[in-house]
Amino acid sequence: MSKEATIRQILVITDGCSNIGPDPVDAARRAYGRGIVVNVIGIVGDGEAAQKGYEEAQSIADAGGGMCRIVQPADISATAQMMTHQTMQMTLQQVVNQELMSVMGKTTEDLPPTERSRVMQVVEKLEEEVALQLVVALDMSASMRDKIPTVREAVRDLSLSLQVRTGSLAVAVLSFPGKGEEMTKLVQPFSDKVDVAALESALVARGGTPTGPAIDYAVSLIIERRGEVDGFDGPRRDFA
Amino acid sequence: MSDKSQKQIPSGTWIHGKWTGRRWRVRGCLGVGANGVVYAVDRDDGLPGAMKVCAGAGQVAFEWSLLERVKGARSPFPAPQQIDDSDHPLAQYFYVMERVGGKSLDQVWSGLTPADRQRVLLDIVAGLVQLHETGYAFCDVKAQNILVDVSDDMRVRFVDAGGVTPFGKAVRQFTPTSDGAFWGVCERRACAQYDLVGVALMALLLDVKPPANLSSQSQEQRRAWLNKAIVQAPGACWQSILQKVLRGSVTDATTFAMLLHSIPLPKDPERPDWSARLMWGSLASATLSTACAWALYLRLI
Repeated sequence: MSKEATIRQILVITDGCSNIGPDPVDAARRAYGRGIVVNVIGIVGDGEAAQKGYEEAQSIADAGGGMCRIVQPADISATAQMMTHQTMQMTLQQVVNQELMSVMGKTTEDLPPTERSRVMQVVEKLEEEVALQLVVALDMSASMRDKIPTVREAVRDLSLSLQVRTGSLAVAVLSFPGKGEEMTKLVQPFSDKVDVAALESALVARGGTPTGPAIDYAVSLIIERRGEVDGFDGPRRDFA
Repeated sequence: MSDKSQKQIPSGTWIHGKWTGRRWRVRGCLGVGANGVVYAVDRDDGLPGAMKVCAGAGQVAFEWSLLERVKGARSPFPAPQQIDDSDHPLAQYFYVMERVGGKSLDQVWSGLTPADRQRVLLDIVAGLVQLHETGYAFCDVKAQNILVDVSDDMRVRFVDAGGVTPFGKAVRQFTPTSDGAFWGVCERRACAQYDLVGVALMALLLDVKPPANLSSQSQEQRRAWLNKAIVQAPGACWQSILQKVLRGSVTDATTFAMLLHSIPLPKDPERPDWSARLMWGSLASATLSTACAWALYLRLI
């Protein structure tokens, strides 16, 4: 089994406030505690509910060590790609900073700016080569109905960006709420690309917004996979 | 990490560089981007520059390294000048580069004659030829990232090196409408062809507006629209060349440039001169007064 360094992320795409299950901010904090960064894309809405949704989105990202952007549906695609890239870079910078600290007792900021550039070139190279595990969690509550095609294309588009990296990609997609009483539904298990057919058929908007349970479920998927992939190896290089 | 409210450095402020010992005087804000703010500055010795300030030291150092890697006497990108830190809370980490004149292509395009448009397009491709020799692709090709100096013989420069990527690596920064992968035309991997497709898409979309529901369309639908749009694009003589680029049969900038060179520059429509205008004006007024005279004579009014 390769001891490949892996970055683990959850990307939540939502258009509102959670209203079912445990607090999503707590769920994000638990994820971050396990080395998983949580990014949130909030889709622009109107009224007071939207404002509350923005605040929640920001709090989830803050607790999850990730980024939050509130965008128009048309911008989800570009935003998802930008956030994934920037947060990967952030995570790698933290790792490199820790290494610098242990080797030289210095952070990147302590170095002269021209030398920082060389550190960043290392970060750039790592970003291209590191393995990425990503769970995309899609809010499919009733209000998302007319945004489904845009979200679907955005997820497909994100996978186009990630597939061409040198490092391996494992992407899973889940939607919330699930069928019937279920809080979440697995749209596709971890795979090296997004299954467009599964997306087409599985995305149906209905019901409430169990964001917290969705984040918890995403974490469990990642943990399960971690167990599967490196059941045997001992200490491994782990990011974050 | 969250959005910081974008406060700007007031004009006239001196920024003191900690490492280089140089000082820069802020002249005004040139633009606010996704990852930072660019100011017009003058260095203490009078050298004009553009100062890019980002929130993190890493981003500044990264963009600086990109500028360093693509620099050269004929580089289409602004030449890097200095990278430094300061104690000013709004300019903790920054770099300074050559200040490039001109307006962005989207602002000047509608005012350009067909011949000028062709010249600009050719200059853009020539810039890519230079860049590609260094082994890097621009990637974030878009009209906002290309400055045209109308006062300096349509000189074309690229700004925002943030997307510059070594050939063969995954593209990190792009704009969907100029991104070949978004349209289902090519992969999202940095290579010469990726940039050429970007230029072709940009040139096309400067003339034809994409449908409003583009983001919810599938790649197949987008591609179908593209094929139709390119045929219907208003009278540009480089249509067939763009078509070749989008079909993937042009894969290097030199070939693209040669193809553009091979079409004759369209003649600029001659300005109607004042004597013709005077003639038509007087003819019209003569006709009008005659008509009025007849009308009065015949007691029609």
